[in-house]
Amino acid sequence: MSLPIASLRVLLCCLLVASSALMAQAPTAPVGRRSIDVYATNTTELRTWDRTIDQMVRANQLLVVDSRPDPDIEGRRHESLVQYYQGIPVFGGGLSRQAAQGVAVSIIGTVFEGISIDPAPTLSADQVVRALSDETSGARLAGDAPSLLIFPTLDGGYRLAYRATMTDAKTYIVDATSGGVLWTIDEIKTQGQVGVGTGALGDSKKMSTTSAAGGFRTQDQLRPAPIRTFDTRGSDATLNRILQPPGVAVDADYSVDADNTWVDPPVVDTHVHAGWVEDYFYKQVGWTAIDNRRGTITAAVHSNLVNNAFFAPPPFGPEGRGMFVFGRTVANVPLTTLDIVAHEMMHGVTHASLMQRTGLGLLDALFIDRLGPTTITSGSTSLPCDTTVYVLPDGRRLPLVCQGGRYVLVSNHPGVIHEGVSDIFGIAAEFFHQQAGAGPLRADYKLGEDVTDFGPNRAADVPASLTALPSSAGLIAYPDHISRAFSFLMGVSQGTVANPTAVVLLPWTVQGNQLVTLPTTDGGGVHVNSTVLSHAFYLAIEGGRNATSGITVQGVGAANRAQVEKSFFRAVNLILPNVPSLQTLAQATVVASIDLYGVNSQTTLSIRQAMQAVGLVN
Amino acid sequence: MTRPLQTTLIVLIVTLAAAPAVFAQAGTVAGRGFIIVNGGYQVGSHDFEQVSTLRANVEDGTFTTDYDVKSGPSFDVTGGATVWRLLAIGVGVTRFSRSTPSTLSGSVPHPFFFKRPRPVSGDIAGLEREELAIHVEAIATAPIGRRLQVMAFGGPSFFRVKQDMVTTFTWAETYPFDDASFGSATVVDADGSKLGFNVGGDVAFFFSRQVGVGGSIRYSAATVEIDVAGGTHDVKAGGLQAGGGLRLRF
Repeated sequence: MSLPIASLRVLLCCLLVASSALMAQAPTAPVGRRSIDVYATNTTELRTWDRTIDQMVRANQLLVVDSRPDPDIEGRRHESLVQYYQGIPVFGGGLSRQAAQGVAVSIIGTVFEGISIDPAPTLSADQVVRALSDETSGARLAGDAPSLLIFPTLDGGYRLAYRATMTDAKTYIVDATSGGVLWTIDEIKTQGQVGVGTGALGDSKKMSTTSAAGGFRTQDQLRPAPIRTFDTRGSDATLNRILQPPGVAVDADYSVDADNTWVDPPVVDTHVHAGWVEDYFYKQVGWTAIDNRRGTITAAVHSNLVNNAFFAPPPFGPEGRGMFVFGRTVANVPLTTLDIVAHEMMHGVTHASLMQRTGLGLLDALFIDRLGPTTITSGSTSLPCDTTVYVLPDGRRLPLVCQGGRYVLVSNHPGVIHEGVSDIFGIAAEFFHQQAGAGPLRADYKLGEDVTDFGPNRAADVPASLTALPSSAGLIAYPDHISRAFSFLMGVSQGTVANPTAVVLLPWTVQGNQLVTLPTTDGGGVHVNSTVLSHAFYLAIEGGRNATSGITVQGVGAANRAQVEKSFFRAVNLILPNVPSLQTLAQATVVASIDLYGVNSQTTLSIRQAMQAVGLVN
Repeated sequence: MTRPLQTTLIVLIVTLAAAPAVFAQAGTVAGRGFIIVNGGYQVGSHDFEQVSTLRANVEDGTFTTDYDVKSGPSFDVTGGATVWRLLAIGVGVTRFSRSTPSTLSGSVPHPFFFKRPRPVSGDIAGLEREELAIHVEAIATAPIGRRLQVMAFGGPSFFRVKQDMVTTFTWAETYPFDDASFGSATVVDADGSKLGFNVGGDVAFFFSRQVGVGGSIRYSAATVEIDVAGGTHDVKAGGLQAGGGLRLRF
């Protein structure tokens, strides 16, 4: 079917995994396929897309999966539509349409065209689960039975596939004909590079607890969404029992105290900060807890997790509600500062809001950022794309993915958005609860700065002031502009160069004509590239000059920071589709600001300028 | 010796010293008794303030209750007998009772945050005060003709004050608990006693040898300490009472 094209961009949907995992990836040659990215905001585009949407809805190619009134604007409604093909959802295909008094005012999302595929699976769901269990050393199905979907592949084709979440905290997209894994989604959203503060900072704060036999326990029942903080006491078995579906928690998992005077810093900070973040969401952006449905918030501390914290979405956690796990540094400092707790909780909010609107979360996907040269060099060695191989530790040699003989550089835009908005709301929560300033327990634009001898890990105000990754070319700073963002090469892990059936992300990038090796792919740059977004957030509020683009932004000022926060939140909460690019998020944020404050408002001008400054909006 | 009692004695001495000269011709018989029954009105304001602490959410808050004690009706009975010429000794009882509408204002600690108190205020109705005073009086009497009689009196007074007082209060709050509103007060019957003084005068007109009517003015005062909720509060009692009623003599 022919569709109006608001903008064309090459979209590469394939599985993202950590480079060390080297999971099988999406098949076939990345010759590039065309999806349609929709940013319709003017009358002509809106009318065209309105007609197209109506036609697709009548043809059952789009299904309205959610329609809700705007929480902020009278007369507004938000529709979430998911693309279907013969009754089967298309992975990453969907639109968000906002209407004012029944008339569309913005349409954003992605639509795939040219789908022609047999919708009858060869394999049953049970067969797929058994195969996955074999491949994952015994992982079991977590949550619902596998469901069918249409999966867009690198070569412009589509595969009928199953989507199954297993107890190894991964969701697999499995070819319904061959049984091959097309894509893997790591369900654990981590705060991998961020350390967390501790009550050792000496701050005294109130704990909302519950009286229980023998004293008190970390169960907050005062807030709309109850908060429970579990103490795994260093036991992996306990953590797994709580975390793995069906997550089972018992009263003994609570942290307890005889006299309600708590002296365990990880417990105190986690429990209190989770409450503060719930307060922030409620007061500042009108969102209740994680799921906006008063679902219980579960956090676990004293795990054996080192230098990390993560959010595990449903079906993980007790009652399958998802949960947060907070670790510690190697020096045993808990990773539970306010910004890190808020960061993880925002992961939960992002996931929940996307799930509720579209039935899917914010899905990891690789986007082609650019095509590199045909030949790069490593020292004095010349490396043509067509003949270069990547040697795995086990000796396997992976040819590189090329397009027209040129290296293909990709990154995980949705993953970057996940991390970027989490950083943004980690910062926002700090400013909401703490006085601005430098030093401990003060709000700033740094992440994890209150973790003793660990942070800061990222700086939204001056991203380049911190090192993102070491490399063969030296230390590489965090990017303050999309042009400086990390992009990665891909290797063909299955099939041939001409017809790859699976690819893997490599810890290689290209600077000029030089090969640069990195210690990690960071899941496609999800953390290391997140500063592009958080820096835009900073510029929109505080103003200033972007060091790369030279564009100067007039910020809204600290007194008006709530307007910028609400715009970002609205973009994620009401507008963002499942598989957005960074540019989509930028557009969505501008649209959100226009909705809330008007097209000529200072907020909209500042956000647009900020997005331009970091290279996400022209 | 307290100052009010000193004042009382000075008044008595002056009164008694003057009485023989003024009322010498009355010819009062020692041992003759009398009864004064008055319905009256106690005027004057004894508003007072109670400052209390409130422990909530692991933090102290404070609240102040302002009690509005205004004028009100009183009832008084005095009986006595002449002991020497124009001098009589009497014992009187005065009861004063009325409601004391009050207002409460304070701050309630936040359940989530230190040093973020939430102001509350409200009116409290239905609080009662009762003052019971027993007056021991030296009385100088002065019959003026056969029907008119004048008295001046003074002496120590024993006050007992019962006052409904607020010990704590409830408040209404909803998440996110940044505001709270007054709910209701917890009230206890508190009481205290103290010795004070009284001075006054009475004019009576007798229709017959034994029955008459008259009017009195009495000023009595004491500061009573009332213990409540772990604190002691000074409450003023008494005041200027004016009334009239039955007069009997035997």
